Amino acid sequence: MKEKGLTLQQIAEKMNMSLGKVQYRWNKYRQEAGKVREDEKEKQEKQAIPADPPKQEQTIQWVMPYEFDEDTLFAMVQSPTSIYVYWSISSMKRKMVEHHFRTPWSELPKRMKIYDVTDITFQGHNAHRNFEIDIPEMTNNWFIQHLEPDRSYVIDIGTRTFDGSFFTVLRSNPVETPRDQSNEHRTSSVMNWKNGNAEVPEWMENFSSYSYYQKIR
Amino acid sequence: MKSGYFTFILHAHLPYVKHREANRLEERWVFEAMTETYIPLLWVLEQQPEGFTWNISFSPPVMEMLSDPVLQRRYLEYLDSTENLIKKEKVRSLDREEAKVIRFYSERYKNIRDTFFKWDQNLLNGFKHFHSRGAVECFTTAATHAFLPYVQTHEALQAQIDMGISTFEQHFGEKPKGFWLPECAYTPGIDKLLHQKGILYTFVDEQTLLNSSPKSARGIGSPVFSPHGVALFPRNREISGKVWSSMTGYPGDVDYREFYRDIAYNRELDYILPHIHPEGIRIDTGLKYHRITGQVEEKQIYVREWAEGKIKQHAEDFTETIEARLSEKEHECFPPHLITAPFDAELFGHWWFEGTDWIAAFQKASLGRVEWITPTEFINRHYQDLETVHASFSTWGRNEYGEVWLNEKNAWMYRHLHKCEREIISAVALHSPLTPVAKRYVKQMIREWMLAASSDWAFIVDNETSAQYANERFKTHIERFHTIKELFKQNPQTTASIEVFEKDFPFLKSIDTSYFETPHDLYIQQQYNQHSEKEKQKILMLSWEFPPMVVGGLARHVFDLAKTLVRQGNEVHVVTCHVDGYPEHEINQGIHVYRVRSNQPQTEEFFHWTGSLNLAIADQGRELAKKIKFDCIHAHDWLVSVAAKGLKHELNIPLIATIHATEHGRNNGIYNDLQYEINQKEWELCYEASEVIVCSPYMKEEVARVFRLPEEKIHILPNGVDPELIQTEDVTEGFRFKDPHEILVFSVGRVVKEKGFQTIIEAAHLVKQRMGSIKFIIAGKGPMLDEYRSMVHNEGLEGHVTFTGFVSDDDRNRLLSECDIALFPSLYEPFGIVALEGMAAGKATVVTDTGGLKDIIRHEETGLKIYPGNPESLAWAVLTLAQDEQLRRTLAINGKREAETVFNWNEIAQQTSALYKQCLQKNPV
Repeated sequence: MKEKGLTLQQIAEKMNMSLGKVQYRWNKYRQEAGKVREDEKEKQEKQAIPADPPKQEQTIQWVMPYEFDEDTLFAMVQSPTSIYVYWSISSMKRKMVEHHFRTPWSELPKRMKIYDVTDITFQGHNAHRNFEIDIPEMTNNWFIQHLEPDRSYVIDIGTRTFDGSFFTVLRSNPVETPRDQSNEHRTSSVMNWKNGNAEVPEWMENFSSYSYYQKIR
Repeated sequence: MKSGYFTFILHAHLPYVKHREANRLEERWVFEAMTETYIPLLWVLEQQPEGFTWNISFSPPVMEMLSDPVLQRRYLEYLDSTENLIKKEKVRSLDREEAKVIRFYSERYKNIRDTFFKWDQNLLNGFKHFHSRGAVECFTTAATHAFLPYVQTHEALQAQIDMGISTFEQHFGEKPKGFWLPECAYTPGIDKLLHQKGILYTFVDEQTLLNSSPKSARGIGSPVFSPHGVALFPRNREISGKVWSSMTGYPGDVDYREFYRDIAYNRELDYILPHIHPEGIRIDTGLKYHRITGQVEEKQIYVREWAEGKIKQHAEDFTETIEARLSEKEHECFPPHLITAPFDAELFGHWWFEGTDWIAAFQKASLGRVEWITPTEFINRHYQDLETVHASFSTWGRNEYGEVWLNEKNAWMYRHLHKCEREIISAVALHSPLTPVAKRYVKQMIREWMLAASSDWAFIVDNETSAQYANERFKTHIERFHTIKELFKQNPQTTASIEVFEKDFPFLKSIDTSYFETPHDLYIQQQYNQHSEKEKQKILMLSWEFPPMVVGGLARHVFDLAKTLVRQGNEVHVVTCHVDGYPEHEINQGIHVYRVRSNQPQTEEFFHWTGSLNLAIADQGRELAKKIKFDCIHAHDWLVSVAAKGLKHELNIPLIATIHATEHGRNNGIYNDLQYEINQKEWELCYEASEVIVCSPYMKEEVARVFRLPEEKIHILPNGVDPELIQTEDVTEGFRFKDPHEILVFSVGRVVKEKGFQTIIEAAHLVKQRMGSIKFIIAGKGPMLDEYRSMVHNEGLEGHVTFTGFVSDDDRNRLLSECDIALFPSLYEPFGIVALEGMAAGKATVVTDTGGLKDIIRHEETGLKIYPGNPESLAWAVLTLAQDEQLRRTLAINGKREAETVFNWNEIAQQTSALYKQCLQKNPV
């Protein structure tokens, strides 16, 4: 259908599937196709008696994957009441969770936990409030709706333990939903900052420095 | 003139659409913008009366494209073609009214060509000219117009901002004073970087100020300072809506030119073919002969005079609107009311054909009635009157926040953009310092990321017109990025493979790679290149306990072993559990200690607490392995088994496990679910490990039996004792715990049943009957303490048997020094490090013949063994030793020697190290 020029969205509608599912299959197909193309290329190269050794760079054919094999859970603010999160869980981490629970990944329930961490340093148990939602299989992103403006949130992806409690696999960066009306929430912290009474601003600033060796000292 | 001001801001931006091959449709976007907007704006400046200034921001892609000789040449071809078409049209047209329009275009295109040549084919020269004369203030935006709040890393944000600014500097020869936030998208923290770069002002949408904290007193009548000191000028929506709204604004007037009636679509294909895409795709020629006419299909011919009349009328209307608003706000004076009206530049001329003429007419109309001011000038005059507020995330898009650039249609893009940001930082870290060749690769990676990051792609995908091009372009850059990354991984020695990529998208000649060099990565690179000696064996040691977190003997063991391994020339990195108040990383006696925080440190279920900890330990291990080439992993006990297995497979290096005790042994069997799970983890750890270490023959038997391990996989390496910790001295007088003539029997340990202290109480009668001068002191606390004390009391043994409870290390050492016999009557003991301490202190030591204890002492050589739980046996040993000073001395000397040799950490660490090597030989990496 893609070859007929339909968009993934249109295909999804036609086949009565979620867009995510179609996207996943399409990407899978493209990855496979990519592999096949590479295999064929290799075969051709092997069959032909190479006068010159084939240049290595020609074999690099990178196809955009559905996700990467890495641990990532990133939250982005969409509006005062909604946050977008995308994630990927590395195969190492999946296997470890399988090991801990002695249960195959596919049989573990997938859950998301949303914590309200406004104005606190979140340690994993001290949120003002939290709620959980089930996430469908084969999902790697989500729009979380019905949040409150002017609050800070952290999102965990995880599973449920045998006794029903939440087990965190990945934790997101904290994000702050914007205000949708003015208030006095930041008045004193703006004054403190302006008058040099605070070493760092007391509100969240969205960009953190990344370094490749960030966990090595 | 009314008090108060008006500020007029244009933002010129197109995505970078230069392609190496000619005739790409999207290049027309540039040509149309030049023809219809940028050149007519130069006409506005040429006729502008004194005293007017306004602002225009040029995005780096626009600057790069306007100054690109290839595009300039292609633009001339475009102009030629259009002028040829006009000639053909003149001949073709039979209609008088139409002929008039054609003459209008003919004249106009002549002027366009003249202006293009006047500024040496680079329109920026024109704007630079008027900029330097103060007629217009030019400024810029982010390098590729990225939607800045959705950039992930500080490094990438800085690159987008700084490279925008430096591109402007290259073209204009000075730094910009203002910065256009792409899509007016502001979020806290952006202002910090802008301020650092010397940016004075930027623009936000009006609700950014209306929703500020605290509330801005002037609403949208004045800019405010952001917390980091950048002036935020709020767009006045109502006023600007009069101009841009196609429904209610001026551009929809019936007499203005109709955008959607290009002659390209109603001429014979043969006739029009030379002027459209060579493949016959009909695209706008720019010649449009009709006016909007109304909500009808049938459009009337454009009458220029009518349109000019409307321009004047609308200019007057707008002036009156501004005047009226300013009079309403006349009472505001510190600062006077300001109306900020920012627009996309391409609205004027391109979308609203008469827009540029309207600007000129509006200037004439407002002469002497409305004061125009630039943001720079406004700040100069009124900075002391501006409030400082916290502004939150907002944009000028639909519904005011991020939904245009982040929704179900385009959200998938950000995973890839963020991945690129991190990959650039990683590539720089891995290859630093960058050679000139390496820099070329990194620069092109930065280019591809930047081009993909343009907010246009997400916008177009949301909008669904040209979505295919936007998707393609995005994917192209992402795929090229990763292809280059893979090429770069092969450590290319020449630039051969990168050149073709550079030629395809030569955007921004000077890319600065230093934004992606983080000081931390540079530090690590230097630090570890200097200090990492290749021949050193590098061990990744995992243990949940490590000083100061001491629960049992494990912490002590891991610390002593690691310390000794380091002393012997190995590199040991211990990953353990976070302890409040202790550093995340320290180098303690040469050991690199990393204390990690788990995500759920207060989980009530201990089993899941360990699971959470294991994920954190494995993360840290995987991160360390980015720089440190570990030879093997050494894991202690089941608590780290999940991390140990995960890392073993991830890093593909051998795993060695030490089993200090088993759940089966602790409970004398497995009786509940938790014990079963723990037993499983122990079994899995043993299974995954290439070699298993236990501390005694007793434990070897237990581990082999419980986990069905082959004997040859299990190695006995005893616990060691650190003589430095046993600070004993020869006490001959001034005893604190006994009289000189008394025989002191000392024992120490947690006061729990399995330590067997009850046997002492039971034996004390027998001993007392035979020798009254023998005294027992038992140090330590525990649940059985009160019960044992009352037993002593009830049996009248006070003075003979004393339970001291907790003692300090000093007192404990003193007791060890003063005693004559050290006694350890445990019923179950996997190893029995305390017995070793007795021996190391040079005391005749008595232990029960059980568990690990029985392997520590050779009966009547290095100490005495007694039957566990047998008072007679205990009494016999104590009395024998009490009566035979010579025997005491012999056993003490032998015991001490044994402790210092067999149970010596140097010895044990060497054997451990040999085991690592053996393991590596068996499992070559």
